[in-house]
Amino acid sequence: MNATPELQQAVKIVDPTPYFRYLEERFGIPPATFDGYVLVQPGRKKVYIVTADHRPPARPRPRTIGLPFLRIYLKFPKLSTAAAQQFGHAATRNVIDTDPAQAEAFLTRRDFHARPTQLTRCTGRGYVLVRYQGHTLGVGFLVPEDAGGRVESMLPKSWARDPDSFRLSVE
Amino acid sequence: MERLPAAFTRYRAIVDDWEAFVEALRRPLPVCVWTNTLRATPAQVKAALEAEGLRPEPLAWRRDAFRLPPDSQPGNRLAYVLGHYHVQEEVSLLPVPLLDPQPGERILDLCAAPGGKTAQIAVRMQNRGTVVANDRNPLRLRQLSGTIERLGLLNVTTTLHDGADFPLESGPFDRVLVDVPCSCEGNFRKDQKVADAFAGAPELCGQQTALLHRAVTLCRPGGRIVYATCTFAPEENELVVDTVLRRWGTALRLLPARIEGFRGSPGLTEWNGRRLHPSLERTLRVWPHLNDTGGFFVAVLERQA
Repeated sequence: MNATPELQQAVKIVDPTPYFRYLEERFGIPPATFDGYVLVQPGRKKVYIVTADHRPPARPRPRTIGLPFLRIYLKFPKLSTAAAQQFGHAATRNVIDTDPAQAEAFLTRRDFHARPTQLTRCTGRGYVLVRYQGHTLGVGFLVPEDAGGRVESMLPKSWARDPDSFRLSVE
Repeated sequence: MERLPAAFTRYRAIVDDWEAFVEALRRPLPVCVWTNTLRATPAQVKAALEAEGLRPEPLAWRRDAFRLPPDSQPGNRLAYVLGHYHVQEEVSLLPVPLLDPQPGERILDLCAAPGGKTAQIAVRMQNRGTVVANDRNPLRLRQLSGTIERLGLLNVTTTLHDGADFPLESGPFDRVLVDVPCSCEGNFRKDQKVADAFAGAPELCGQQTALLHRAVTLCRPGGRIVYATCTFAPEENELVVDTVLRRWGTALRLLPARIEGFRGSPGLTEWNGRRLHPSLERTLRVWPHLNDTGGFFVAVLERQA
């Protein structure tokens, strides 16, 4: 699906091919997952994803268009937390299913340790998708260690829960 | 308990049951959440809240939204982080069903932050089409972006601009929501400082009138405009709508703002000796005691030409 003329006029349209290829290689997300959407770049550091029939104004200049998708100009592009939650269900690789204590750590922006059995679908150091009860919570950074690995929570501060009060289960 | 603001006594003549009104204002406000149906079903949200030890009651007029006791904290939960629901006061759920946005349309939310109503519009449009969410305050616009991200909205563009001066070339829009800055008297149950604001201040009303006028200008002929405030002050409600109706003449008319299952009062057709357009009766006044909510006002307008 092509971008509307209004979208083309309002913002820079991005060639999605390299990004979709990267997401397929790292996470096994099929590019068809993104059918019906267009990648755009309203600012400098972030690529956004928006519905292809979107018709924004050119003036006032859009601040954001759709959902943040990838942070670029890093060694590896980083999938946004919003995009991970939205599209993470389609991932098959570099996905870690967590237990309640690990998920709680992730959501309160603390590192957690992953057991070797949890890393069977991981290909090595780098970004991983952190899941809990089938829901993608966001993006972690996996550092393999002798037994298992350390997962750093990449959850933005604004998404983080308060470690003093947030619990995943009622006692 | 704190005294009722003296400013409220001027509403004695237009409230049907003064004792009930006063009594409602002294009670804490229930919490309300609505289901992000792009991500979850109402049954899933209800079950998730119950599993957290909360007691969600479906709203009488909207089964996908739930009322919780006043001290509930539904924001600190997993299902909230996953964007399965949004926390928003019940009266703030009124304007969007009255705006009635359709998938694929082009909708403008002129004073959008912090974005709860923008999100309702985007969800009703099934995450397709165009929602332009504008606000003139950059910090509040950032809050709006947070709402978009958590709920997974793929059809919203945000802009930072003075709504009353929103560029005309951005239009036309099929529908425009104009949820104006106001004296917020209707928020008294949440924040008792709000009543310090001077309701009906001329500069405030001038700004509201300019915003509504611009909203009508940006809407296509045949399109719909919804004007909303969270104040009781007639100067910011019926009088603003009356002024704009007079300016547009036959090119603008009021549609009935009524929601089945939700109790409201008809808008005023007279205030302080000023006689207003008789169709202002079609606007909706929400007094806190009618549904155990905050206070609110909504007008639904249709541009004829």
